[in-house]
Amino acid sequence: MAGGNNLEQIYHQTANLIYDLFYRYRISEEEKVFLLNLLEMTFYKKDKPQLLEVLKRWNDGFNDSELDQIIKATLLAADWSDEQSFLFNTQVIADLIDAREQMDNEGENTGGDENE
Amino acid sequence: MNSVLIEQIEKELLFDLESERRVLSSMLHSEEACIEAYSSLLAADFYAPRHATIFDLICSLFDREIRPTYVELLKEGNNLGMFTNPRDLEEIKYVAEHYIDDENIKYWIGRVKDKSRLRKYEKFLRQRYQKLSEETEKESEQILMEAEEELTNLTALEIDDKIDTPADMAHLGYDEVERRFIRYKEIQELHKGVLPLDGLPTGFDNLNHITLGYKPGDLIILGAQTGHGKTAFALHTAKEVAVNSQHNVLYLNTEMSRQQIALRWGAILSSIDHDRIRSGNINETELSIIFNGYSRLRQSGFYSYPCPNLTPEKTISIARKFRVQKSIDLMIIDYIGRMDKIDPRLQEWQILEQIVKTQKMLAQNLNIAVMCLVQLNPDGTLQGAKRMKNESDLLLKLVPIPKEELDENEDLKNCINPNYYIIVEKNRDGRSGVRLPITFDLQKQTMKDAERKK
Repeated sequence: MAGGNNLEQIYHQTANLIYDLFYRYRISEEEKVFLLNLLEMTFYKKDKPQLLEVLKRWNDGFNDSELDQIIKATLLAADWSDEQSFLFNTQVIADLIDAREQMDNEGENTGGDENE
Repeated sequence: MNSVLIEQIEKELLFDLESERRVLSSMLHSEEACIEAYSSLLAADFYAPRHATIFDLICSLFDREIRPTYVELLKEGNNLGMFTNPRDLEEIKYVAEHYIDDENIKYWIGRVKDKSRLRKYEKFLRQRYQKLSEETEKESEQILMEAEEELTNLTALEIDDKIDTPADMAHLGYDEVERRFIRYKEIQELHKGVLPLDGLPTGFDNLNHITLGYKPGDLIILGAQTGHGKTAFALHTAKEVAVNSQHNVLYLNTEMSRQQIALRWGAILSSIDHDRIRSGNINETELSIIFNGYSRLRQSGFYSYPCPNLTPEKTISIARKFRVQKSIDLMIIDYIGRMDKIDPRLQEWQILEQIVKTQKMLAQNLNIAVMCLVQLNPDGTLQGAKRMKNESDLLLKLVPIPKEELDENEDLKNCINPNYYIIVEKNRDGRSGVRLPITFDLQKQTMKDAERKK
C-alpha cells in the first residue's frame, strides 16, 4: 500500500473525479487517460519527479496562450511509459515553458516602457 | 418452507458481500493478496455479478503483468465498455475502500469459498427437490444413489481434485504406453539408441542419461558443503535450461546480492576467472567476450529474485506469480537453510522438513520442477536426510573426490581432471547409488562431465 488511509482516499477520490469530469464531458478521452496515468505515476510509481516539477511550473503561469495549448497537446500525445520519450518530451515542455516565461517577461517590460 | 424463512437463509447463509469486497479490495492493494486470490478463487465463487466481473478484470490485468490498481481497473473496465456511469464508479470505489491487512487474506478467501460451496449445496437441494416432484416413476434407490453421488462431489472434492474413473485410468494408461512406444521407436531410429530427455536438461550428459532430465512435478534436492559449489551448480543448471534450452527459470537466492549474481554469470558465460572479473583485471578482448556472454543472458529465460528473507509462504506466492506471468518450468531455491523460520520453537530438521514438503507440493500443483539446494554437514551427511529423501524425487550430493581415490581408482585415472562427484542418492525414475565424476572449475564457476581420456 502506498500510504495511509487518507492518502488512499485521496487517490480514489481523484480517480473518481477524473472519471466524473469525463462523464460530464468536461474533459476528453485523451485528457482522462493522461490524468489517470499521471495519478498512477504520482501515487504508485513515484518515479517521475521531473515531470511533476514541469507541470507545476506550467500551472503557475498558465494563461491559455497559444504556447499553453502546444504544451497541452504535447502532454496528451506523448508516451510517458517509454523512458526515452519521457525524457525527450519533458525537455520539450520545459523549453516551451521557458519560451512562455520569456515572452511574458518581454511583454511586461514592453508594457513598462509604454507606461513611461 | 415459507418464503420469509428462505429469504432469511439466503441473506444470512448463502453470501457474504463484505468478504467479497475485502478480497477484491485487497487484490487492488497488495500483490501477495492478488496471487493468493488468483490461485484460490474463481469468478463463480463471487455471489455479486459485479464482484465476479471485477475479479475477472483484476485477474486479466495480473495475467498481463499490469499491477491491478484502482485506476488500472477503471481503465480496463472502461476499455471493455463496462463502468460507463457514475453509479458504477461509486460501487467500485466502495469495494476498493474495504482494504484489509493482507495477512488476513486467507481468512476472507476462505469465507468467500465457503459461501460459494453453500450456494452449490443450496442449488443441489433445489434441483433434487425439483427432480423428486418430476420423476415420480423412478426407483427411490436410484434417486438416492444419484443424490449421494452429487453430494459427495460437493463435500469431498475441492475445485482441483479429480477422481479417475476406470475409463479415465485406462485412457491415461493407453496414452502413456503409446507415447513410450513411439519414443522407443524414435530412440532406435533417430537417436541411435540414445534416450531423449523426458524433462529439462541437467547440464551433465551422464546425469541426463540416468534421470532423463528434471520433469514437471519433480522435487530435486542438491546437497553440498559450504563453499563446495551449491550456487555454481544452481547457475550451471540455470545456464543449461534457461540460456541453452530457452526454458524459463526462476532463481531465488537467499544470500547473494544482485551484483554478485550478475558477476557470477559473467564468469560462467565467458569462462574467464570469476576473481579477475570481480577485480576488473581483464583485457579488452576478455571484456568483449564477457559482454557477448551477457547478450546470451539477455535473450535467455533466466529470472532472478534475490530474497534474503525468504519464507516457504513467499516461495509459494512468487512461484505462482511467475508460473502465471512467465510460464516458468523450473524454480531453483539457493538455499533453503537460509530461509526464515516460520516457528522459532521448531527444531532445524522440522523446519527443513516443512520447507521441503511445501516445495514438493508446489512442484506438483504448478507442474514445474523445483530444485532446492541444501547444506551438507561437515561429515557429508544431510540434516533430516531421511525425510528429505522421502519427499524428493531426485536427491543429489555434490562432494569433492578424496585425493586417495583419485590416486587409486582406475576409472577416475581414465578421466581428465575429475575433482567432484555428483552422487545420485535417490532417483525415483531410475538408477540410484551412482557416482558421476565431474570437473568443477571453481575459478570459472563452470562444471562439466569429466571427459574420458582418448
